[in-house]
Amino acid sequence: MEPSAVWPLAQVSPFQREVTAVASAVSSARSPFMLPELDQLMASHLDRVSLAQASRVCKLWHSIFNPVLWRQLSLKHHAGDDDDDDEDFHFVSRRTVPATYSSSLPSMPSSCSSTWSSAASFPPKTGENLGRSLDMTLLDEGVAAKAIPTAVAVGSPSSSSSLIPSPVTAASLVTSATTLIPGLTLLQHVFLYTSRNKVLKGLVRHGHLVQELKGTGITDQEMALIGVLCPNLRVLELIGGRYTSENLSELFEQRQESLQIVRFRSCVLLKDIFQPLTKLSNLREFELYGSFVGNTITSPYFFKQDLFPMLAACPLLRAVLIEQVYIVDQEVDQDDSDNNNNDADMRWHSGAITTPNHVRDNNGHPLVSSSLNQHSQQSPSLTEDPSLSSTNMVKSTSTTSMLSAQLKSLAHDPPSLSPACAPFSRPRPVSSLKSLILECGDIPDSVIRALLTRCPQLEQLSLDWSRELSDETLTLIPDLCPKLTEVSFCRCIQLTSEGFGSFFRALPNLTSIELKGNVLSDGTLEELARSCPFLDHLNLSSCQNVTDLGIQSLLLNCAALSFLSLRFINGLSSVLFDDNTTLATLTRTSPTRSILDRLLVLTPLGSAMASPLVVKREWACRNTLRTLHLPDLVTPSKNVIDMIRQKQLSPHQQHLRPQEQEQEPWQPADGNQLIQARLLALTHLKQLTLGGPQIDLKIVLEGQNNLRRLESLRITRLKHTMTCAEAQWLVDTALPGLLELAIPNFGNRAVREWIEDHRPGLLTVEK
Amino acid sequence: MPVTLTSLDNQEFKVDKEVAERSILIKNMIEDVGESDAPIPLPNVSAAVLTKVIEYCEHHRNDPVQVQDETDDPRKRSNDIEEWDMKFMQVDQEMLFEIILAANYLDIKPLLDVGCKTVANIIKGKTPEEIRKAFNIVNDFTPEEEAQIKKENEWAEDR
Repeated sequence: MEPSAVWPLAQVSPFQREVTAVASAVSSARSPFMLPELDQLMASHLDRVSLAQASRVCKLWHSIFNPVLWRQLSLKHHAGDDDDDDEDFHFVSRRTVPATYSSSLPSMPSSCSSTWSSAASFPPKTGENLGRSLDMTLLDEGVAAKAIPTAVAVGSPSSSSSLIPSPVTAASLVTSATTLIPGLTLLQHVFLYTSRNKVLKGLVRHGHLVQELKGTGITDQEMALIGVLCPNLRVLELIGGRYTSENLSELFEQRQESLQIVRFRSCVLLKDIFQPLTKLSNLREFELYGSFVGNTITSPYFFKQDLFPMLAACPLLRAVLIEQVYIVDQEVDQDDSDNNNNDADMRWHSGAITTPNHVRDNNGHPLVSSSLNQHSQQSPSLTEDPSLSSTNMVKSTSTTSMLSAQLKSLAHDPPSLSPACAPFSRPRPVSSLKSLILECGDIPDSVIRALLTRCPQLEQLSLDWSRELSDETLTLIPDLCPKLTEVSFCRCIQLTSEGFGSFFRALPNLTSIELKGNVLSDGTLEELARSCPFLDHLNLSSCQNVTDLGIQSLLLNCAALSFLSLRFINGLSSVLFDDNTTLATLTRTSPTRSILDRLLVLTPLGSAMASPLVVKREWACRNTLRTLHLPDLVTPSKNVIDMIRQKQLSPHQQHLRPQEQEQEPWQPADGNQLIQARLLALTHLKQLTLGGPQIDLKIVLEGQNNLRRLESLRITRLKHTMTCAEAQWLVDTALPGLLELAIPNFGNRAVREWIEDHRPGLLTVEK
Repeated sequence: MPVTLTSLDNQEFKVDKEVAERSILIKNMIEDVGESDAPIPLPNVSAAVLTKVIEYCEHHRNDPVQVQDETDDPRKRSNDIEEWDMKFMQVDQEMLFEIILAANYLDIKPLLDVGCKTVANIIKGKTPEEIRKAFNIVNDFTPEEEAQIKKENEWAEDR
């Protein structure tokens, strides 16, 4: 390589560079440093320190590695390498040291006594303010007062357009910036450490290289610098700190073309941030995580006032993530403790659903203050920031609520074609969202409805834990969002089995349904089995009021089912493997034959061993079912037995077997054999969870050739404790393809040890 | 079915199709041309380099095809190199660069990655002067320029 041949680099296009290098290759070895794409690849393997060293090697290398070094900037409290990400999730990170500490910091000049919060509370930078803040430091820095006007010009928005750094002005900017930025640093004394200062200085020359910027508690002045000096900023991540619309609007205005991703994480307080966001016409991703959104009129009207305008103004937006956001509404004040004159519908109830010790409280008050106190312990700044009296805040807070939402339109959908791009004059902005995941216990029913009205393209909808979602809205959803295929309504306590029934009837294309923790009925499941032939994924864990018969109808009819989870359902037994359900199969309408037939024919007394039962009606999903979770089988409940006996007495059955009228009532078949017979037919089963006090593994898994492909088996409970011999049979003979096995913890220790020895890594710990 | 590859210096190499198709370039060529006994010319690769590349492809003939994860942050990628690859890459610098260029030309992503990692590992932990020595590079900065760059990028070197 002949580096000296390729100066000046900045002006040389990659192509020219290659040519020059190739030309020089005659005399020296060929080098990969002549192909730009290889440079990038090489640079991607270097850490920051190495990049910094490499960029000092020669001019060619500087041109290769320096842009990579500056592409991602991190304005953090210290320059640790990608330091502890966990910290980001604390509500306030270390840098917000209480104001009282500041005076005791050793090297701090006296001018630093102004706290960062008072600095941040300056009105958006006017020349005067900048001058003032600089003044305070000039005494210590000994910088000539003459520097101030130039310095102000750098930060001032008016000159922004002309200030894209060019080689010509760079030199003068360096001098002015070096005087300007130390001033900023000192104002931000608590959390501006040296490296941050150096990074900011470098922006003057290298700002155009910056594409991603992460920062903790960025001040107005820094914000202005970034806005002016980083014309190519694409990703902005603000961690911690407090921002209002004034703080952000200027930066967003300057960078409205370039900014594509904006993230707020763990911010102490965000105020009216959505309004400036609407300026970002190229915004693609927005994330609001673990922050307090406060003092806005918008909290109860979040969707109407904030989210919808943003969706309308940012047509390219394809992912919105809102998680762990606490809405602190300070406006509702003073004496309206019992004041419920607010539109009850639009009121956000208190209590964060993800915090288990928070019980819903209609009045809101006691709970809110306790939850807020809890947070303020994690976040000292809430109480230590003088500009915002914390005691006041706790008192005046009348509502907080937690909000989580995730909106996503799939990336491959060209967003420009979506209705969201329609002129803003449309009375009701319609979004092209395809996926909406909303987890908030307290979103009022009407708000959900309003939201769904605007999302006709939805394909995936999740409204877990919605305490307010009503049957009425549920039955409207199929009309509002006819394209839905995946839904999740976990623990929506207001919904009833009737609501679900009509919902399923209206959406025959559903493929994935999560219904954890709802109160259903067998009728609902029959409706589901009848209505949704394409159902692929169904989770009924923790559902109440579901019996074997309902499950039977699903298994006998859903021909595409591949995932079925039935954890934590009381009272399920091996009867669900039978076929006594009244629901006729869709393919065949032949009447259900009584299990008695088979009992009489196939199981003469006591032949408990391996001759498999022949079931009359096959499960429709026998060739698709991959995952079956069934950990809590019990002995058949009296209820179910009674129900089946009742059915037997129906005229239809009597007609079938008139001569057996007087015989003894129906008895459930031997569970183990039933299970065995069913499992035999499941050709694609990969994951199985099974357990119950009656289960005999030896019978259940005997002769299951097609279970050889079973990859994961979890056993929760068995009739007898497993012995070593059984374990050996299980692992070696019955299920040789097993990759994962879980057995009850309280089982035979020797068995565990044997398996560990014999097939290390096979056993997983059962939770 | 073996495939014949012809190097820059007209040497012929017979390799299994499976091995040759580690190179996406060759794979595409074979697909375009169809079954044919005609040798595939590789005018950018010398015999010495091609020998090395084939050795790599033979060893990795059964590797699963890498799924490219675009979202993955390149900075987070590990710089670990498999032991065999490490030994394989113990060649002089000229050969190392030739291998990288060949891997790039032949479109063998894993080999290219290993090569770049190897170069990156040479750079890592060295001062600029040591890097210059390692790669035989002439420092074309004036002392002032170098000091300026050092100052600008000082933040990155804070640990």
